Order: sequence, then structure tokens, then C-alpha cells
Amino acid sequence: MIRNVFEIHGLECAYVHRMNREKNTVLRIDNLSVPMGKLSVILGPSGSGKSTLIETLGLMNNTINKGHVNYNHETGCVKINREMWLNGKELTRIRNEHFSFIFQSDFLMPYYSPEENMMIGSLIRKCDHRHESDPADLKSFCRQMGLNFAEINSKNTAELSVGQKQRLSFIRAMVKKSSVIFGDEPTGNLDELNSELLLDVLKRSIRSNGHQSALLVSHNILLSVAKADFIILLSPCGDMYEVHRDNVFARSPGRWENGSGMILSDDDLTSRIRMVVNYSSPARFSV
Amino acid sequence: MKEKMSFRSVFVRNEFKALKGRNNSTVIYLSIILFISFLAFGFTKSTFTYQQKLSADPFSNWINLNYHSGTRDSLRSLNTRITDSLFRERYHIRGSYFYNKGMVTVRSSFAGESTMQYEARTIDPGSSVMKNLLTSNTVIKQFPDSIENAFVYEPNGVIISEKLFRDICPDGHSLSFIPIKSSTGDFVPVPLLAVAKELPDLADVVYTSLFYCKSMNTGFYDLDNSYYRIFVEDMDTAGILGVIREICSALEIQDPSTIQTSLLQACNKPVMTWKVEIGAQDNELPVSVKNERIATLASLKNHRFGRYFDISKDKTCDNSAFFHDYLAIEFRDLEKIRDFSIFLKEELNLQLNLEVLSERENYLFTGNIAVGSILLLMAISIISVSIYISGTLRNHLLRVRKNLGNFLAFGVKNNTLISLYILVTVRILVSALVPALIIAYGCGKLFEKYLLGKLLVIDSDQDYFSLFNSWIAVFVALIMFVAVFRTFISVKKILANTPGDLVYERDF
Repeated sequence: MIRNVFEIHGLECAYVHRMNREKNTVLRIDNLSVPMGKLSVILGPSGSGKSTLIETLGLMNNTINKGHVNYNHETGCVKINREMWLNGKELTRIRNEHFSFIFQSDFLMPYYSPEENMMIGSLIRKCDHRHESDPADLKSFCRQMGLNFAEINSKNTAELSVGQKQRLSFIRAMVKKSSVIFGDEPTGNLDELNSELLLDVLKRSIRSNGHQSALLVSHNILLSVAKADFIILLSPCGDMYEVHRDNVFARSPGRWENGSGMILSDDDLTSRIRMVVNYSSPARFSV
Repeated sequence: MKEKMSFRSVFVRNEFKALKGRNNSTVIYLSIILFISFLAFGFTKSTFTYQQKLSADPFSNWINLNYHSGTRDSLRSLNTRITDSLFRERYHIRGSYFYNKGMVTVRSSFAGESTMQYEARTIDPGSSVMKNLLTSNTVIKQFPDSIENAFVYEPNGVIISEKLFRDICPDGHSLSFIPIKSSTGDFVPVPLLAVAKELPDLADVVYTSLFYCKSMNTGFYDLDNSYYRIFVEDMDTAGILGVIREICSALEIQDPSTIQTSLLQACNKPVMTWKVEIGAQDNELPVSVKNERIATLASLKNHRFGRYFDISKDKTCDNSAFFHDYLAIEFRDLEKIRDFSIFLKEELNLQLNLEVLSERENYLFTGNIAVGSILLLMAISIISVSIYISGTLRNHLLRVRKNLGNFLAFGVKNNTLISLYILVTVRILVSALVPALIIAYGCGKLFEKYLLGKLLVIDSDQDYFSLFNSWIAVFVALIMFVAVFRTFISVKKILANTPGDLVYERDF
């Protein structure tokens, strides 16, 4: 039986303007289940709310206007809703124990050593919960990502290339050994080869640990179709973006299947996604 | 992989490294600000201490009002009003007492004949000025064991100034009496209770009203004609007895009665006192003959003999025949002295000496200026340090806000980040404070020793630079508190944003 890491019910996400307190709804999802132990990718045009969805599920921002999300983990379930933000300690605890992040920018501390930057996620978790990380993991992930630990660590972080720093930020998220890894365009600063490598390492890690899940935002349609187990396509509806059951695709051997039982090949899915993604302005879909 | 790596140690070490600036610039700038502050503070504080010393000086904090027939009734009325605690509180008065002034003649050496005159005044043994005199650091030598009760122990004793002590004993350290000349020209060894740097009214001798009364009534020594008392600056008892017998023999006195009465200390030398009965066998020997014989005794140059009379041990004296000279009013501080002078003028028609008034007000004014300078310096330093630290920290936090958002997203508590930044601020402040304090102390002391100490010799015991005191502790604590508070506010303000807002830089 497939377990879901996130179960979204009637979710409506909106930003409130700080000055005039006006609400701007950017995303609506009636029902969506993100499977546990899988690499899920969110695709959609710019401004479609991909990052908003990641932020909401990763408890980075309180954009929930309506609805809720059930977050299921190894030992229980947490209901994520607007009221949850009243309990800051609980938010921090969940982020600390369960979530890791990889952003398009590396957000490495330039004056920390590369090793410290890679370890910081693990140290943050260890700080409050006596989480023990295996130092061998660090070297192993470096090797898998095509980095020489000793060579990297002999340099200052500021001296590293953009690609190297991005890979370090990926390793920082991986060594934390969290249940869910969120990525907002984690391969945005990487070349094709390293992007593929990153997704491969991520998939291997997920497979070796049945309870780990990854939810990434990407603009790389081909790579996403090639590597993802699950694709969520944000498509325009009226003046906002929505996820319909027809726009959620789960990988079956050699093909993709959506909620309506429609079966698509990689190429079909790619061209379908391109059709949505290329209409980048939500206004063009206004009814 | 380093052992014992923790988020706290990594964070504090790296943030300290980042905040202390390139080439420790932040620490150096802070050190310079603090160095200048400490240096100025040290000099101002010593000025204040000196001023405070002057203001708290029992000899500066009082006024004297002349007691004569024209002011007698007003001063008695004033003295009565001063017993009222509300009145004392209104004008910050500590107490009042009448006193007298006089002159004393002191023999410069014990067996010699040369004399010197010194100013003397009475003092009330129970008065606050007496307590201040004995508890302040003005006493440099004390001869009874319990100086607090000096006059109770010996109401016929005196306290003398250091100047008088040095006149009598230029190189000596120990003196148990001084030879004071009585109104009839005889010398009396008066017990010495203490030596003070200075005495009220610039006097060189202070004594009790009892002593004054007895001296005015020519009754402060026992004049016993049948015995003559002599000082002998020699410790050879057998030799002295031989000399006395020899002299007495020369004076045709058989078997004189001699008694060693006491052993005194005079300028590190022991001095014996002897009673010699001259003419006991010849009761009718005229006084003039006795004096002639004792003069022969004193003229023997090989032996340091001198005649004296025992001090009277009476503890009562009839003082109805004379009046006081002054009413002394002692103040707790000088803040109300102007009001008090107005009160004297309006209520009692007494005129306070304007020179005295302005001198006292100058003490007050310069004292207030010194306190004001210290407070201003403290405020400027605290504000400077606070602005510098908060500016540096704010710039740093804005530069790394996205990274902080990332830390929050990974699950660091806001309070953890706030407490760690406070720790980093304290480390930076301590790194700047310690060298600033040491260098300021060194420079201040050098400046004091080689420049001020030579140019401005006010008082040999006066420090011109005083850094390590309770004010500096308050100052450092205030700087720490303000810096910690500003850090708390700056970090809390940044962390009031959600991790998402920090990472995606929304609405800054």
C-alpha cells in the first residue's frame, strides 16, 4: 500500500500585502496526495505558486488561507493549517526533526569552512535533539557528487565555484537525514551532468531509506520526466493556478498515468507539460 | 572531521570571526573608542575624587560664626534650632558646637630653652568633626591604643598637626608628650594623643574645652614647690642618681629624695622624669634659692636636664568666667549653603563671610562639574559603542539574512540565534575592553607620572588618574547591558520574519 507523505485538502494559498493587508490568492489545490518514499517534482510556469507550495509544506511561510495538509511521517501525523503558526516551537521542532531544504542559491556561509557548511544542517538537528550523524556520510556524499572532500575543504567557501557550492548545499541537506527534502530549483545553477548526478544521488538515498521523500520544484522538464517518480503540474485556471487530478502523474514502468487513468509516454507528458509551462502569464488564462 | 563540533561552537566562532571584521577592524575601532573613554574617565574620576575629598573634608564642610556680644543671642538661638532634626535636614547640617581659639607655646627641645608658638583651638570630643578627624585618613600617627576615645582616655591630652610634630621631632617617629609652656612660664609635659596631617581652622594643636579652661585659669599643672621635676635625656639610672647627688651636694642638700616617676618617649629617645626633693631638710629654704639651685642643675651641659611640672589630672573646670570664640556649623554637603546664608541674614541678621560662601560654593560647583563630566563621558561612550555595535551587527545581519532564513528553515530556534549573537557581541566587547583598559591604565599612569605629577603638584598623595574603581565597573556593566540589549533588538527584528521571507527577501 502506498503511503502519502502529504495529503492536501482544499488548500488555498494567498499572500497578504504588508501595507494594505490585501489578500492575493496564488494557488488552489482541492485534493492532492504526495507519495512517501518517492521523488516528486512540481512543474509549472513562473509565478504559478511552485515555491509557495514548497514554502507552505515546508513550514517556511504561513500562506494557508483555507484548507489543511496532513503530514505523515514514520511515527505519526501532523495537521498543517493556518492555526499551526501560532505555535512557533512546534513549527521549529518539525522543521528541525523532519525537513531539509535545497534552494536555487546555495546560502552557504562564505566565512564558514566548506566542511562546516556541509555539516551545519546536521549540527542544527544535533543541537537540540542529540541527533548523531556519521562523519563518513559527508565524505561519501562528496564522492557521489564528484567532489574531493580534502581538496574542497582545503579552500575557503568563497573561493568555490557556483556549481561546487550548489553541490555542497545539496550535501548539507542530505547529511541531515531528514524525512522530507524540499528543493526549490536545486539544479538551477548546475550543468546537465551535475543536475542528473544530483537527482540520481537523491533517488538512491530515497530508495535506500523507504521513509524519505523529496519534493522538488524544477524548470527542467526533460530531466524531471526522466528522473521523477511523481509529477505535479500546476496549470492555470481562471486567475490562479490549480492542481487537478488530471495534472498529477505517477510513474509506472515505461509510462505515466494520471488520476483519470490516462496513460502517457515520456514524450507525451513532456509535450503536455510544455504546453502548460510555456503559457507563463496567468492573465492569459482568465475566463 | 573535527571532534566536538557543535552548531553553537561553529556558529559563535565563525560569527565572531566575521563580526570582528577584516584585520580585527571592529575590535580595534571599539578599543580606540573605549581607550579614549577610559583615559578621559580615569582623569575625570580622579578630579572628582579629589573634589569629593575636599567636599567631604571635615575641615572644608563647615562655617564658623564669630561669637561676640553682638552675635551672642543669635548664635545661641541658632545653636538651639540646629538641635531640631527637620532644621538640620533642610540645610543639610550635620551639627554645631561652640569653640575657642588660642595660642600655645611649645619648647622646641626638651631640655633646651627655645620656644615656638602655635595656634590652638578647642574641639568637642563627641562632635562629628572630631569623629571625621579621627576616622578620615588625616591621622598619620596615634599614640593611645584606641584613638576613637582619645579624649576620653586622656581629656588633658592634645592632638597636634604634622607640621608641629616635624618641628619638634624632625627625624623622629615616636613622641608621647609635648612640652607646653604655661601662662606662668613653666613647662608641662602634655600627653600627645595623635598627629594629624591637618587640623580644623589651620590649627596646630587641638584640645578639649576642659584643657582650654584649665589653661586659662592657670590650673592645668600642679605647682608643688617642695619637689622639682626634671627631664633627663639619659637612661643610665645609676649615673643620673650620681649626678643628682653630686649636684645636690653642691647645692648643700644632703640625701635628696629622688624618685623616677615615668619613662616617656621623645623623638625616638626615651626620656626619664624624676622628682627631686630639694631643701626638704631645710623647710624654710626660700623659693628664690630653690630656683637658683635648680638653675644650676639645668646648666650642667654634660647632662640634658630640664625642669617641668606634672599636668593636673582634674576633670572639672569653672568656665563661667569666659566666653566662646566661635560657633562652628558643620554641613553634610554644601548644596544648601546659599539658602542657609539667606536664612542667617533674614532670620538672625547674621552675615556669612562672602569669601567663605563662594569658596564653599566653588567646591560644590566643581564637584558637580566633575560628576557631570563623568556622566557625560559615560553617556557618550555608551552611545558610541552602542551605535557602532548595532550598526556593525545590523549590516552583518542584512548581509546574511538569507543564510539566517536557511538556518531557521533547517530548524534553529529564534532564541538560540539571539542568545548566540549576544554571546558573540559580548566576546567582541570583551576583546575590545581588555586591551583598551590595559593600555588606558598604562598611558594614564605614565602621563600622570611624567607630566601631571610634575606640573600639578597639589597633594603628594593625590592620584591624578584613577581607573579601577566602582564607577568603571558600573560603566563597563552599562556598556555590556546596552550592547546586549541592542543586539537582542537587532537580531529579534530580523528574526521576526518567517524563514520564507528571509530566504526569498520579501518586504525588507
